Amino acid sequence: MPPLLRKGMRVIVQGITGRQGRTHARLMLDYGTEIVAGVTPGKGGQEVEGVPVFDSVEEAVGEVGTVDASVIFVPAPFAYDAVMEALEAGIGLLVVITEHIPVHDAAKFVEYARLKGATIVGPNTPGAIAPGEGVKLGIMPGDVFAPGGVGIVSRSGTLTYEIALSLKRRGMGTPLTVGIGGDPVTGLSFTDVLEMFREDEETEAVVLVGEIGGRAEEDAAEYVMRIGYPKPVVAYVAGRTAPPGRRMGHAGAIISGGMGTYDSKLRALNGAGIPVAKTPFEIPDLLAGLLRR
Amino acid sequence: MRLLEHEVKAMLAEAGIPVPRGRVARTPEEAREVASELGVPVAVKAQVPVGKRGKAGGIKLASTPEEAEEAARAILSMEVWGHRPESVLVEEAVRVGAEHYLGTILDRSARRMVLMTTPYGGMDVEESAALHPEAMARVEVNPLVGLAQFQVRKLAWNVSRDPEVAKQLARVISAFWDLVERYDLLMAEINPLAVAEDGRILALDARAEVDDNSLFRHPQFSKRAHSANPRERMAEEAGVTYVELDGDVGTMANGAGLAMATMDLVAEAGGRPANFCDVGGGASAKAVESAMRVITSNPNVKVVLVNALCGITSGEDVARGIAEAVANLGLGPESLVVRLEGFRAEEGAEILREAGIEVYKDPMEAVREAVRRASV
Repeated sequence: MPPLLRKGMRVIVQGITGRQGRTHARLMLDYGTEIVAGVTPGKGGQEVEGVPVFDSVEEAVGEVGTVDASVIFVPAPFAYDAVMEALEAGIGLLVVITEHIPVHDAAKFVEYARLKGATIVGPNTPGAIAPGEGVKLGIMPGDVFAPGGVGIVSRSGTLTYEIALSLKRRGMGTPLTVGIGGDPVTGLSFTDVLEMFREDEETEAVVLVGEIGGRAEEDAAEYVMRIGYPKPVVAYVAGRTAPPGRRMGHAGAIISGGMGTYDSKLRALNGAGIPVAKTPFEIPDLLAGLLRR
Repeated sequence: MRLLEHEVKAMLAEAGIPVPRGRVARTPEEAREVASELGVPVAVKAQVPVGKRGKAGGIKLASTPEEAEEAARAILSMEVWGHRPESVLVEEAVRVGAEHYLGTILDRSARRMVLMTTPYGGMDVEESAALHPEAMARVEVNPLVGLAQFQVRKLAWNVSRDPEVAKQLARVISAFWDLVERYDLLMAEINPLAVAEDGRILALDARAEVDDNSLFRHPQFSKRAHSANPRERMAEEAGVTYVELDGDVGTMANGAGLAMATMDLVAEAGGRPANFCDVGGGASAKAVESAMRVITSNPNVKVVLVNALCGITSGEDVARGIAEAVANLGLGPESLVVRLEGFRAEEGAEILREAGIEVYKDPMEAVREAVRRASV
């Protein structure tokens, strides 16, 4: 298992008293995630799903001791502050679920995380999950993911669940699945996550789930080719029929000025020897073929 | 959100960047008045949130106030790249000595904004950038540090080695960057950044895009429906993400990635998707109904394919939303193909079957059925 998530890691939830925060704190606890505290400014002293709530991250850390990660559900206008607060408190892994965070805010906290040596998953991510460890930091439905050897890295949510489910039905599973997020600026790139899977003993192959917009897929293809990636990688890219100049739901999914097209991604991935599935449901077959060899 | 030229110029002027004298006119008569006030010749420019207006006939020169009126009348009744201008900008026509370029855009891989200048600005800046790639200066701005003076100098000197001009340019570049930060701009461009014959530096044309997600702190840019398509405006108002295409298979899915994949599957099966529609990962009953209303109001749509993979949301809730929408909109059950899978999908399928709607577990089967129904 790549060391991003591990059993017993101590997690806080920022924005735990909101509807989403509360629901998913429950679901994460049920999955096995060890949530040691929640934070909502002004709501300190309460309990949510048996988890003590504090007014600040600093207070939470002071009270409960070591914190390894924070899952952030704070609404977009306040998310920048919440992320900076967690970074300042020295938390090394932040999963930013929040959607609609302004790009300039994200660019700032991603840069600050880089300086602090911290990892940011998201923003606008379903999170990360390690079924074998019983750890989920995010909002994905736990039961579509089975433990196994196929690392998954994705820019989307439900599409990832779709692929995880089709793997599960074929008896395959994942050591770690990471949603890097659907926004134009994210903490982790495809390349960063491919690097996590590179030397990991459990990971036998990697599925990359991309979409139109930006050049994260092209960057990943370049990286796979440059270092001679030691494991099979297969990809699916959504948005082949998307018109240029239009945002397809995700803030990052837009073909602009001829950049970020499906064809460009297909060419780059194929050029790096990465087969690109025509439908998400072909992925298990592609993997089975590659792993048999 | 793309701003209109006159809005961007108001920003530039506020920051102390010189722009030509001018005013917005909403009628041809008003355009004539503005032209008389400014003195001719003037340029009459369509206010639409797209570039290359000149090539579409959206910019006209007028040498008398009457000509300005005529130009405005023509522009206000035309479409410029699919947009109908609601106003024109009437501006003094400036005699230009040289045309340069200043722009900024997000470099997603670097996770930073980049600023660029080239001395070869003007209408065909893309071609000239391809022709003279070495003439483009580019700096990445560290979001925590901001734009540094040495970077400003690099950008300015790239345009002119004349110390007086470079000094003026440096002021423009710094002021321009301040606007990018202050107004959460994701893209901004002054092109041409002109040196007039009298030596003044002027922003002759300008474009900018404000981050939609930052509007909570910029209430002055009230969120406007900028789509020319009535169904896209309707969706925007209902809070549903909808983009129209020209096919006949309506599509709906929960989650943006799955919604894109669903369109692609329709094409893969030989059909033509009519739209992209994401009702959100949660797929609330209300969102499903709003989406259904928008999708089915497109006269080209022959059948609607719903692709719902339920994770946390219950398939029962999604099914109820679909069934209610079908009843409220008076749709025939044959106009719908539903693929429902995941959490409590069986219970959901039961609800839909009772309403006479066919439910599939296998997404490809559902896609093929939708494409088949659209083709008969």
